[in-house]
Amino acid sequence: MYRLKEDVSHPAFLQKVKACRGSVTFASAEGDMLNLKSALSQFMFAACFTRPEIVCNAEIRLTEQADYEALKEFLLETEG
Amino acid sequence: MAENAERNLRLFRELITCTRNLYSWTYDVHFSLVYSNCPDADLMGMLFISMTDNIPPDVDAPMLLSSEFGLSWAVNLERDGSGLPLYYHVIGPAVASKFSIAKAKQAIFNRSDVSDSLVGVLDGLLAKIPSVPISRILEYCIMLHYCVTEEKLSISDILYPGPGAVPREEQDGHTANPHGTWLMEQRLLKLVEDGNLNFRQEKTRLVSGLVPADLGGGDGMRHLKNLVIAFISCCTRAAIRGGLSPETAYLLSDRYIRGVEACAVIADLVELNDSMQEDFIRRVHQSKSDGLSPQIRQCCDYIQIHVEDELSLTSISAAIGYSPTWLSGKFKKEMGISLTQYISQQRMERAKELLRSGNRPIQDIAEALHYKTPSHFGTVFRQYTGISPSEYRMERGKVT
Repeated sequence: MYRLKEDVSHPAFLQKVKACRGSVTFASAEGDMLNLKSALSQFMFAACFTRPEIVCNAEIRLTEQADYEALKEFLLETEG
Repeated sequence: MAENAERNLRLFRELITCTRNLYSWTYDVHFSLVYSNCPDADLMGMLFISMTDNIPPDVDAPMLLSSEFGLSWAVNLERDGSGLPLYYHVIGPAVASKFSIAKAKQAIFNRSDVSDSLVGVLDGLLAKIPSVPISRILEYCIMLHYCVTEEKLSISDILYPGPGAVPREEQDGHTANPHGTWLMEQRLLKLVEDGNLNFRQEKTRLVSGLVPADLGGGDGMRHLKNLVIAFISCCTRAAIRGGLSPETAYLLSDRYIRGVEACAVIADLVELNDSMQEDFIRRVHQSKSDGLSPQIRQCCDYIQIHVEDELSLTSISAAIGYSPTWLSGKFKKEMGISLTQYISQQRMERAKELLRSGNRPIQDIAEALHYKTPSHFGTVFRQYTGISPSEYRMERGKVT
């Protein structure tokens, strides 16, 4: 399970997500599921940053473990 | 960055921020941020990144990027000294349509995988984005292009890449000058009435000059569609004044109005508006200069407009109100070819257009133009052009 680091460039994160082979999903504590490879979900993801608590408590889920290598500079591995 | 471009951009950015909180950005060709004067660059930068898949690579023209949320960005590519793409310069985002935002929010609200609280955060985000009339954003596109290239272009040169909702003029204290609008409209219609083939130089002012009231009840797409429909009606009447037969003018008008309703994105609407005006101007020009009688001109127009319909001497004669024998004789005398040959010629021109502009299967094109088999279509096409349809597509077709 991963969370997003705070002190990274989130636009750069989104740009990297576009090159991922598998799905990259933003799952909020409220149950929102945003597929970060879709433009509409990327827009919603950006909107979440107006309320940082949503981002802090959200998970990033990857379907392809290989994508972690591309995204690891932006992700924190957490328990769960 | 080239020295001139850097100096121009520095001044331009300062000028924009004198009146609006509209921010400037520079990205490398991989969309890594190089420069921004936005204090909230992380958040606003994500909005732009979500749109970058719509930007065609290696395009020099100024671009207006629009999202389905009614946000817009002016985008321009800069090349290095050897002509390689170097940077994308961007101005934005700006809210050009609050109605689009409301519609997009509703679409999100209806999604089962998104909570109410997430819909709520959109308001917080949108409150941070300045509202700028679309005509102003288009002007910024042209100015940004000038800063980067020192080339003066017109608004009709702007590209509208990718999907996106049509932005709408928002009230920002700017009041349209009704006399200016009237005069501009009259000038544009005069181009149609005169069949003036130098229309491109004047056309640019349509977008920047006309600042109409809201015609869409708050719906940005409806607003622009209504605007284009109103302009089609004006052009129709101007073309009739210019000598185009009323039957032809109204047939065209109906066709373009149906086309407007089918448009889903700003790019389609802009393209249709441009083609419509050009079509009317060229037809008026042709009617003034080809020396044909009004009856034969009307007959040619009818064939061109209905080229994808079943056409015969009988059906054409009935449609335009002359006897088949009289029409056939007069047509041959004025045109030097038979009516059937002219229909075939027009179908071949249409086939060339379809082969050039898309990937529609050749069999579909043959069927659409009423050839019984693709091989018959191929034979006629080869006689007309000297090459086969597939060879023509390979030589002249554009990559889509």
